[in-house]
Amino acid sequence: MFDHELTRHSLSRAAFHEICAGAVSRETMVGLLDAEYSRRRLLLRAVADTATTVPVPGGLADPMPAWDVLARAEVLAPGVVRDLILHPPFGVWLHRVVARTSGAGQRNDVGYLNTIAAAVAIRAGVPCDLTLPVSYGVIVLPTVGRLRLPTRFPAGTARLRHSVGETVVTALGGRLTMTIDPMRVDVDGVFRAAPSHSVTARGVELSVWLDDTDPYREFREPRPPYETPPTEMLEWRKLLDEVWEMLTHHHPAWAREIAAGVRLVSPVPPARAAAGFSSAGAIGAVAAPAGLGVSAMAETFVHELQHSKMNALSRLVSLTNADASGWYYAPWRADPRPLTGMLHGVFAFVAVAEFWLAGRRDGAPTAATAEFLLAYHRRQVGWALDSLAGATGLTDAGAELVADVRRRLAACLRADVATELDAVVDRLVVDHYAGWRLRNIEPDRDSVVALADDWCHGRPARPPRPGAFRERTHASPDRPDRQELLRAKVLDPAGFDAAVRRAERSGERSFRADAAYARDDHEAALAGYLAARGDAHDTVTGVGLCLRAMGRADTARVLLTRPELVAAIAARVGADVDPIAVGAWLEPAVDSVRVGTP
Amino acid sequence: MSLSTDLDSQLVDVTRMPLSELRTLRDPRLLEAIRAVVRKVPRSEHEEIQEQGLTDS
Repeated sequence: MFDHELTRHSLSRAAFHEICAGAVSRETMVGLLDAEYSRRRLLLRAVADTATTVPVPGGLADPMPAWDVLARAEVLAPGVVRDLILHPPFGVWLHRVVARTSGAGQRNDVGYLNTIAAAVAIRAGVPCDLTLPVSYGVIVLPTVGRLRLPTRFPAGTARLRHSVGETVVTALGGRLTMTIDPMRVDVDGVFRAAPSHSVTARGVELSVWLDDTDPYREFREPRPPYETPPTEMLEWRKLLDEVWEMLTHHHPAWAREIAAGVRLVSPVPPARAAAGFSSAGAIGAVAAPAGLGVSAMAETFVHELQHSKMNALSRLVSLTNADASGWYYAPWRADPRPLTGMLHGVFAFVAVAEFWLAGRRDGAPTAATAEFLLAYHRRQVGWALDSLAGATGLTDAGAELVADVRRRLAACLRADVATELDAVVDRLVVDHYAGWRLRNIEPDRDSVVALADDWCHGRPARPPRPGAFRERTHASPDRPDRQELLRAKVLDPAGFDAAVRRAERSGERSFRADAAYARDDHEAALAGYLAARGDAHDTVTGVGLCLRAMGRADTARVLLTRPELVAAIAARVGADVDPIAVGAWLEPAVDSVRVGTP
Repeated sequence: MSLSTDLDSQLVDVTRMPLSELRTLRDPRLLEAIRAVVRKVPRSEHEEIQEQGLTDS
């Protein structure tokens, strides 16, 4: 009998500083996962309470059969129960069910819980009799496998009975009965064991599920199972082997952390994602599109695991005050970010900068790429920290984490980078910031009216009042934008040449101007942006960038640090007004503001 | 910060509480711990993206 002494988790200062300082040991990762295990068990109790309080008819609404299986299995095989409760898609399901039930008391579908319990029962050798959901003709048993029913009916339920040495599934109202052997690999297309991959290099083992089946493997709406063809699965295994070779060789500390923290890789069709991603509900999972190269995949592992660590840490220790508010500039996002999002970003991207720092030092085949990406990401983190400089919502622990990020960034900044690469990076981040202001900051309306009047009457500009953040959707052009062109110039010269040719054939003046700017033909680009200023909102930024590249930084300053103001005045006065003249006129009236401030 | 002291957490440790107990225990401290973790669950994909970024930080 449990003695009802409720204790709380704690985190040693040493472990906290280890987390803030970079890659963590297995022991520290286990501590973070212990906390996540408690959190999920508490959420599971909440789900069970709600389901019992708000009963819904049907075989998939009662959580008690699954709970009983889990409780019995825990006595015999606690590690199996822990493994399934910490299974990343189960965390996603918990979040979804809790989010849906805590408000409107809607039906909560415990079918997925039954599949988790069935998987536990099979792995732990505990008898069970459970109703399972059938979707797309498939029953998913997380970490065990999937069972494809020889029927075309898309959804429904089946009954799974597991006893010693036998697993029997009954479906279609008893008309279909199958006996499956979960230890058997796929030979007939009916049962396929859950794909996993293990690789050991330099004494460090990576062991992950390659999940193409679980409905919550992409962390959002339930997805249909995807039967990865054998050749495609082989490519994933080969990629993971190569990634592991690289990580253990060039990034041994990150490799050890990943070995301790990553338990599931979700292959995503490239059409649905251009880069890796993760989720607060799925600690230990990395979703990644097929087709990433070895370096990009290794970076994705490092990057996404930082989010998992940050999520686990923030559930143990408050990093922001409950009333923290405000919006900040993140150079990797199109939208303004709240404080928690900023912490995630700087924590993940300083690790990415460190990743490329190590890749550059060790003379890897991708050293030039590594040098550029080091320069790029360290500059981004620097701008983000500048934006955070005025943050008031950090707790002492949050401030300590930011201070450690700053220390880690300083180490990255000590590395020499080729001047021409750093110059490209400089152009990229200045461009991004100006575009971010154009999209997200609404100039003070009265100030714009007054300034437009001043302009029309030949008076000096008056200092504007601060603007405000606005909700605005941003449609990306259906072609490479200026920053993509510049990145391609460094990382993919052949792709860059093709994009330039496409621009030169294009009837879009701002596209041609972007290409000219990326080719360093700044005179042509400036003429192009000025000619296109009635076509596109962001030509103010293009004009500013050209002036800056031509050594006219003073003239460019207002265009690049307050482009939203110049664009608003130009729009009020007339689209054909010369933005250079407006910028120069505004210059004495506009003070510099902290990065990200309206 | 001193390395000798721990950072206190509000998260109740139920890693060793049997599931049979966890299902039935009505201790007010446990119920508050459950409410606390429920409150922190993002209520929508939008909310989670605001916190983490989901796709690109």
